[in-house]
Amino acid sequence: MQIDGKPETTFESRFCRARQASIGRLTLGLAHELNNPIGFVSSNLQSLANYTEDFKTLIDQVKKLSKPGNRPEEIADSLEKTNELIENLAIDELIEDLENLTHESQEGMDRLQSLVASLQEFGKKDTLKVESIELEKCLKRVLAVLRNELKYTCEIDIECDKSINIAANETRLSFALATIVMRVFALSGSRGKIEIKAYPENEYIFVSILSDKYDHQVELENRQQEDFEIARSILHEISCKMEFQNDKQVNCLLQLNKS
Amino acid sequence: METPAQEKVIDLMIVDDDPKTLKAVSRIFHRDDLEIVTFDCPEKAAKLCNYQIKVILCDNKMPKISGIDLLRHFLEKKNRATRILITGHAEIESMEAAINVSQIFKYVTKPYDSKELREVVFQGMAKYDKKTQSIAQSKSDLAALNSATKRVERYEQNAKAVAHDLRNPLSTLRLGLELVEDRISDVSDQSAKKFLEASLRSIDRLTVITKDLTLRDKNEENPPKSFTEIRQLLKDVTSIEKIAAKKKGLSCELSQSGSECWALVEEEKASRLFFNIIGNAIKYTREGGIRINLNKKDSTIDVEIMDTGDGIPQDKLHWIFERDARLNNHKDIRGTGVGLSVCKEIVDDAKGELSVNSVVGVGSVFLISLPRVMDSN
Repeated sequence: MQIDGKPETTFESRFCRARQASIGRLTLGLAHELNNPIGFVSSNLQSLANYTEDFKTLIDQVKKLSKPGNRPEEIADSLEKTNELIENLAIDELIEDLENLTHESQEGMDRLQSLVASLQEFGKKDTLKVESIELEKCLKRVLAVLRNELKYTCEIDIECDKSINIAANETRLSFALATIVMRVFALSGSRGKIEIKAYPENEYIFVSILSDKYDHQVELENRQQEDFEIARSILHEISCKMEFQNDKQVNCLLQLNKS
Repeated sequence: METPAQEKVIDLMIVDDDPKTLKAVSRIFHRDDLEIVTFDCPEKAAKLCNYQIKVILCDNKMPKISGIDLLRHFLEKKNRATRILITGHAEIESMEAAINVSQIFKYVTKPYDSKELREVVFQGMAKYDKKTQSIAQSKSDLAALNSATKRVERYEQNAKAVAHDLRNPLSTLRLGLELVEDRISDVSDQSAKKFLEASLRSIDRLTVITKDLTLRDKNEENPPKSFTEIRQLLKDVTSIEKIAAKKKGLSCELSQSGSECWALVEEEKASRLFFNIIGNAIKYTREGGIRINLNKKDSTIDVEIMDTGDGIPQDKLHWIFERDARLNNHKDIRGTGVGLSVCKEIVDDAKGELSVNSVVGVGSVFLISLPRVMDSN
């Protein structure tokens, strides 16, 4: 097997397989993440259709009001019916909700877009290219893909300067970061809080992934250990140092070179 | 969100950790004038388990408490809300058992269709309303039954009191009439004598009725608990009934052998049983006599009471133990017709058997079989 004309190494095939396996595992959670915004956006569109019908009914009534040649008593009658309609259809509430509906639906679409983009990045073909990548975007894409695995039992905080760039292959770096975050999550007993901080110091960029708990009794699966070794190799390739300190917390510190 | 007052009925409670989904689902019902509450935190929703809620619509995947567990919590607290789950399609198979345990009415898969969801919610409300109506109807029926039972109990107590209170006046009346009968025995006024005889028969009939009423009440209150030695009892009953038999020119013989025979029946009831049947036999026999046989068997005590009376037609045999049963040709003989039905009840209560064989013009044989108490007991 060849990747972009270069001969396959043992590491390459291991990485390929591990990456495909992780994408497969994440698919179910990703589908669930997609379901929610699809559900409420679709539902809001149906509600919007209902609101539109109500507005149409009101507009039709208003048209009667402004029909030329209406006698005063006809106008009065139409006006009364219009006011009744406004009350019965709760038009004021609809107007108020319309803004929320469109805003929430837009947020839902944005979430879908972001998720799809993250998935595309995470799952794209490995080009082996090393380039300058924005660390904040990379971290956010990784967390978007992992969101469904983490959100029900763990709180995630991320603090990363937008201006931090590092030189790396994004596909491999994404895999490595995802593996480390999931390792920290597993060692914390799959619960609690994880803080991710990325900050520059001197000529390096430090990324700290810290959980508030450490479960001594957790035994990692072979698959998790293998993925971690691959992540370690990837980071070593880009001269990144990694240090794990597990005491009452799980603390992983990465030292990367600035771009 | 503000928790509503507990006495208010909540039409729909929606629980989902995604606030946008909560709002979108609420919008589906904006035209329906429903009392809707929403929670993005399942723990807060759980606190409403004592509220009257028609439908709970709940997402499954939520932090800390899953939808299945939340709905099971409401079920365990005996909340009557109809439970509906929103879940991802892939979760269904792994959750089948949990869905059954939480008695989910229906589940809706994501991404949901708003029209389908609305329909399912209204089906859930209809189910709740039907259940509530059924419970209300049952409560109403129960209240009516309780009221009727209390009325019957009052009537029974009154009847018992009346029966009890009648005894003394009846005895006094009988005594008075017997005295008058003695005084006018020399008088040739036949109509006066007939009137007196009729009056005495009426008093006797009333006395039998009051006795039967009292015994019926005792039968219902006091199931048999003690044992009775049948040999001695039969001896006593027979010796008393012999007097009545002798007055009619009838014989009345008892045949029994062996040792003591203990039966699982109360003495007072056994006494009433034998007095009734032997008394009946004497009453309905014009000539000949009555013979009583006692047999002690392995598990029963069998008593045969044979008479040489008129006999009972075969087609009447099956209902002589019914209340008020009397044969047409014996309407001139005193009795209320409840005697044999009382005997049947006594024997049935004692888990025994009472049967009769009869030939018209020859006589009848009543067979009483009572459970035997083993000597070691």
